[in-house]
Amino acid sequence: MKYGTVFNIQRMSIHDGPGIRTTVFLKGCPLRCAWCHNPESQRPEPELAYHANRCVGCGFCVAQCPAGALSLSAGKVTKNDSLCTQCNTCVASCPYSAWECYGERMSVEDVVTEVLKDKAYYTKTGGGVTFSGGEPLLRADFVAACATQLREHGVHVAVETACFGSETALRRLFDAADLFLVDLKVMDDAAHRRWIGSPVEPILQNLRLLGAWGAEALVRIPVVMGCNATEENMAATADFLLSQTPYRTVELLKMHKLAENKYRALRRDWLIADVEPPTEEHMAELANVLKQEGLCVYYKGEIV
Amino acid sequence: MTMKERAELQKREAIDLLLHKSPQSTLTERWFLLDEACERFQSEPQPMMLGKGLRYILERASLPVRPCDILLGRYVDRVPSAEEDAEIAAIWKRRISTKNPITHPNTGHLTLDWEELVSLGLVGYLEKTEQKLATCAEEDRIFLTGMHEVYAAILHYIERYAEAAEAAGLSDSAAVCREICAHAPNTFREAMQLILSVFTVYMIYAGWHVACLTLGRMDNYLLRYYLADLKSGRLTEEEAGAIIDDFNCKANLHLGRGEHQMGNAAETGNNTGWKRNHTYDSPTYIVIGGESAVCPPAGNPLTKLFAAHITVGFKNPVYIYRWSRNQAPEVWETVCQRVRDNASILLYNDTTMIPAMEHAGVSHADAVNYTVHPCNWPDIAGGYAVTDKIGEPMPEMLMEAFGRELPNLRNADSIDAFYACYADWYRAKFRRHAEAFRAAYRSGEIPKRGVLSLNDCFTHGPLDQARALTDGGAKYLAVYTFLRNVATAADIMAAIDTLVYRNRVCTVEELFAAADRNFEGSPALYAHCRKAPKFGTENPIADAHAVRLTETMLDIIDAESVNTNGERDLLSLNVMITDMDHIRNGAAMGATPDGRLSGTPLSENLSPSVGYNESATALLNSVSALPFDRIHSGVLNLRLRRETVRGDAGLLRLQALMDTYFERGGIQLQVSIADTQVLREAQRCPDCYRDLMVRVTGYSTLFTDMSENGQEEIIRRDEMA
Repeated sequence: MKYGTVFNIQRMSIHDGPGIRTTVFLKGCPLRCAWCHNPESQRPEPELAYHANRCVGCGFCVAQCPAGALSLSAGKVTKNDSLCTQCNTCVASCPYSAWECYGERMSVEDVVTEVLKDKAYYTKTGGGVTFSGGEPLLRADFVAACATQLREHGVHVAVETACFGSETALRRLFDAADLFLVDLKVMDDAAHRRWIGSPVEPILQNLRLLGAWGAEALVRIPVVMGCNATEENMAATADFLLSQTPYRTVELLKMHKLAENKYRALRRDWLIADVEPPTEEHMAELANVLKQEGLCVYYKGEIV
Repeated sequence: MTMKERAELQKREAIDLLLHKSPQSTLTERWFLLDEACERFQSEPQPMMLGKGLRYILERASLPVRPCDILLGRYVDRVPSAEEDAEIAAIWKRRISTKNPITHPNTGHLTLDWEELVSLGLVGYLEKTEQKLATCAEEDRIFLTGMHEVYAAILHYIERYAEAAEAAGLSDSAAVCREICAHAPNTFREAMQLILSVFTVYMIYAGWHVACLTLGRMDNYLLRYYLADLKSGRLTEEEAGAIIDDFNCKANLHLGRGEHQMGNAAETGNNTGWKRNHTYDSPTYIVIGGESAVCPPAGNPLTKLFAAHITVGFKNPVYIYRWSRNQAPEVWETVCQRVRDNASILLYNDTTMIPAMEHAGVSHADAVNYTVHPCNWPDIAGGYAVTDKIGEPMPEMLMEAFGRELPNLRNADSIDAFYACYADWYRAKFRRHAEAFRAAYRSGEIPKRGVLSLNDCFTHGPLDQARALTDGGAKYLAVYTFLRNVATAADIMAAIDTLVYRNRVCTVEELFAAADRNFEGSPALYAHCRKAPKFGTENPIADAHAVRLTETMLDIIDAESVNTNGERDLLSLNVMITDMDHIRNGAAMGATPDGRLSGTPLSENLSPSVGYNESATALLNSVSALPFDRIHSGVLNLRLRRETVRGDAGLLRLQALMDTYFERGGIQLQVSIADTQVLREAQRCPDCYRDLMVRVTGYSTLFTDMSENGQEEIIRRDEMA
């Protein structure tokens, strides 16, 4: 696959692997985590979003829309989806960027060129590129093609994945990447189906495979109250990692509520709008469980 | 107490004093003494007024001594009573705005020849002056006698300080003062005391109200004293560090509360709500590191010591670290740590600065030995006398040039016509200045005005020639050529190029007409303008225009700096700094084709236009593409989140950002570590964030001391991941 749909290329990224990195966010994800911080990543196709907070109500986009899909009321614009043809005239015409299209078709060369701009910074900090999502496993060929070229330039390649995909795709990325950042959310299958919309076993199996192949990986746990923020879940996670994988380091990620505006812009409900992030004390307790089980725990970039 | 203990105690006191000093606190004593001195010596010629007036003031100045002092050089300031305040305001009006002959010539803004000072000592200057007086022309007598008075006045002040210290039980400090009254300094501590004494006299008692000073390359000119002391066992590294700490404390206290750019005038929009401190709100610069004829940068132990003693939490002195390819890695790491901890540091790049100075016509030796002009361009100790400042903000010049030629540009078939138009306009403008310069200085004879300043007393040249620096005593006559607001200017060119020629969205006429109307009635075009390529985002179109525009101007400057005989006879320092003028200048300008609305700020220093920061690396890559080997000043403000630089990994990231910027040819960099969220909280609760330091434009200030306008400017500089 020569092209991929990318919704963001974030330079100077410091949270997705070591050093200074460029994170390439791909669209399309098979999972539907209730807390997903990047709702714009879920669907594979480009999506139109309306940021009401940026809109000044000038109505210019309404006048410009060739399909007559937009209307202005109470100073804000509404869109009739059945009329919208996704032509993006509104995006081009808005001076305030109130309309935004998430997702751009990019070639391997486009991505490689963009990522190489910061090569000097990667070299000095042990950084590189991270392919994130969405789910990179869904675009394994595209990611592998980018990664292969970037590695030829000496760029370190990481893949941030939920590990929900085929063994073939996983193997493809294993051959092309240097590091996996694997999200492992909740161990209980029923909870996994409820909160994430899929069984947990395929993910566990892929983690076992990565371990068997000798892949370098860091397991990351997004901590969400009501879903996985329990001592039992942490103990089960540790038990699985210790008994069935070679991975002994995990990173805890505290859920945040910064994505709320994006849900609004995409006119989607944020299922956990009323769930509060865990307290620092609670995070410390969970970290402690993992430590006691024998894992090395990172939180906020530092070893706990 | 050991020297280290004394220094540690002072450091704590110095931070505490600055944070808790009232913003209304001022040099009450100085104001009244100055007024008396002016009255008493008003019938004397100016050089004698300065000399005798300074003696009068220094003979009566208070001499505070704290038990923890190593070096001596404090002053008394306090909040004046309401009556005193009114009287000070009257004196301010009487003695400053009427060009007071004692303080007005002492405008600072230069590097004194500190090396010569420590090498000759005040006694050496006195002797040299006496020798000159014995053989001088009658017309030079008053000038030289005034100088003699100045040296004697400062010597007497130091003698008085020795007595005060002795009385306070600080025999060692007193002895050092007595030594430097008897001869040139022989030790590191004596040299530091002499510098502090002259610095204190200048800043506190004799300086004009915004007289910034640069103390030069202290790690170079003090090196021989330091090494000799170590070798003889007179001093340990720890003691030398304590002396540096002490010096930093005094410099920190010399700078009052308030913010350097923030005047009283409400019309500047920068009113802090309190009266500025009149005499002591100007930063002090110490230059360390860099290429040197004295010692290779990697092998200078004093650079290492100064770097290690840069105190976090002080807003003054501002340390200038000269980045060079030959620097010692461990010293650079120390500097990076201090930058990370938000210390007052500004970084200059030797690899562009030295060639840029040589390109302008400065000798190799002087270029290598550059220091820093407090307005943030390279200086030479006593080197430049400025004869002219050329240029308005680049966006203003572009719009004026295009406005005049719009009827012709209407039919232009490419952006090249705009460049040709601007080049013609700018060439004519620069040529007018160059010709005026040549007419004024063609004969090489500059009339002596006989006005003496402290600058003349402590720079090489004036004493030998009995003429002031500004009367031809300086080594180089220079003009400052402004290339300001480069991002807005590049964005204007990128917008014309993209919208008119590349994408054919509109005609030249439509674009300029829309800007004239502040885009009212043209929402579509406004959208296109805002979305046109912007400098600072590593957009190839915008970046190429920034380079092309800058090179167009530099080529004209180069060509016009050469006279008809083919000799370069005009030294142009090309500066891209804006200070905080981008707000004022933007307020006076109409809308521009890049989508900038009427009255809104122009781009700040080398930053992108407001709202167009994408990432730190994109910004650094964009800016470092500018031709800095012909540019002498242009600071880039980088505001980073604390999280980005936290821990060892964060330090490595910070170092990588700065190293890469300089390796790619960036020029100057100043970093503030401050999260937007924290700055907003500080606005809500200033008292909780008294010590929150930010870099403004070549200097530091406490965030909560800034006007609301200034605070918003800092917040506008988008934080980078």
